[in-house]
Amino acid sequence: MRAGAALGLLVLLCVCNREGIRTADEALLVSLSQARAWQRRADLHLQGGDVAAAIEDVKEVLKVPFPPGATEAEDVRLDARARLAQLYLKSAPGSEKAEAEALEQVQAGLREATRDSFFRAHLESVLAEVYEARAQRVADPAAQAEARRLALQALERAIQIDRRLQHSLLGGREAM
Amino acid sequence: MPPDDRKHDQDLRDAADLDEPEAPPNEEELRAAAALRDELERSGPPSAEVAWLRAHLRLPTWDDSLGEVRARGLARAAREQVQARRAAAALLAARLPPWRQVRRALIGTGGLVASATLLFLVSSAMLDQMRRPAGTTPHRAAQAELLRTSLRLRESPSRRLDLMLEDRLQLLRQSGYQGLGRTRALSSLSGPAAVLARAGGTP
Repeated sequence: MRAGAALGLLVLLCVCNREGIRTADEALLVSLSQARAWQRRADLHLQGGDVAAAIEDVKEVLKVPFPPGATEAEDVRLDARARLAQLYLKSAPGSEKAEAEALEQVQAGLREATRDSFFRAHLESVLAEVYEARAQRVADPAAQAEARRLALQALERAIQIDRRLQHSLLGGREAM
Repeated sequence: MPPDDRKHDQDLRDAADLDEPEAPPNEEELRAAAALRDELERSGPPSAEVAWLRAHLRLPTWDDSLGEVRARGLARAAREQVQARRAAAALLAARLPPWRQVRRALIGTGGLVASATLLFLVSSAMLDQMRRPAGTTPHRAAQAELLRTSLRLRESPSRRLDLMLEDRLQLLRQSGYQGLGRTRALSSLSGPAAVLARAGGTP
């Protein structure tokens, strides 16, 4: 009697577990599809030269909900932050405001990052682009040198992340 | 104890008795009940209410008291019997050899629940491995390489999302995804590689 009840409970738990995993997979696919649609809208707006509309599209990617525990969620958000930063730089080259907005996006992305990934490394590269843009904008040689130094540091961090990832992948451990 | 304090204590006891419906009647209540009983007996032909009141106001008989005593005795005997059986079971369990104690624990309710939980965890892990055959390290490395190449080529993020979607769809298909409605829903997400794999702009 008790064994039967325990077996029944076990089967029920297994079924519920599998169903839960399937639902989570479907939810993740929907989230990825939604993010892709927004990024494609941004592509189309960029093809038409409308950078402001593209920025609004990419901002929507950051609002897409992902199921808890989905590893892709962080990647998608970091990628969107990096693209937003590049779009801000592109929207008004040489503008201090655009540079500040780009920097804000990159720093927000770096705060969100919880693990090493190519997307994190990419974000560091974009941070270097922001500092390069600052170096070109400012006239003061000392400020230029400081901006270049910060860009070099960001690139160094990107290289270190890539190295760790390569070592991890070649070493057979899971990383992405 | 001063007379005032004694009276105060008596008042407190009386108040407590009034709050407790099962408390034995005090002297005043007994006197009032006797007076009412006499009054009812002196009254005319008994009505239904009078008969009910008389039945409830009658003094307990010897049989009533004897029944109460017997009931208390039975309850005490049952309680002592249960306690004796528990003590005997505990004594027996303590005297058993260790391997029999382990056996008793395993076939008990706790043992069954623990076994079921363990079995669930193991089977869940096995099922998870079975449903993700492509989620192995080489596969993850290949996927990582694809994403890295896309980032290096400065492709659009939509291209990388294509890669992530394809990867997830592949995992789902290899896990033997079933269900007609769901398969239809997923088919709308997938598509020919030529449609999915398109070059994006920069950034």
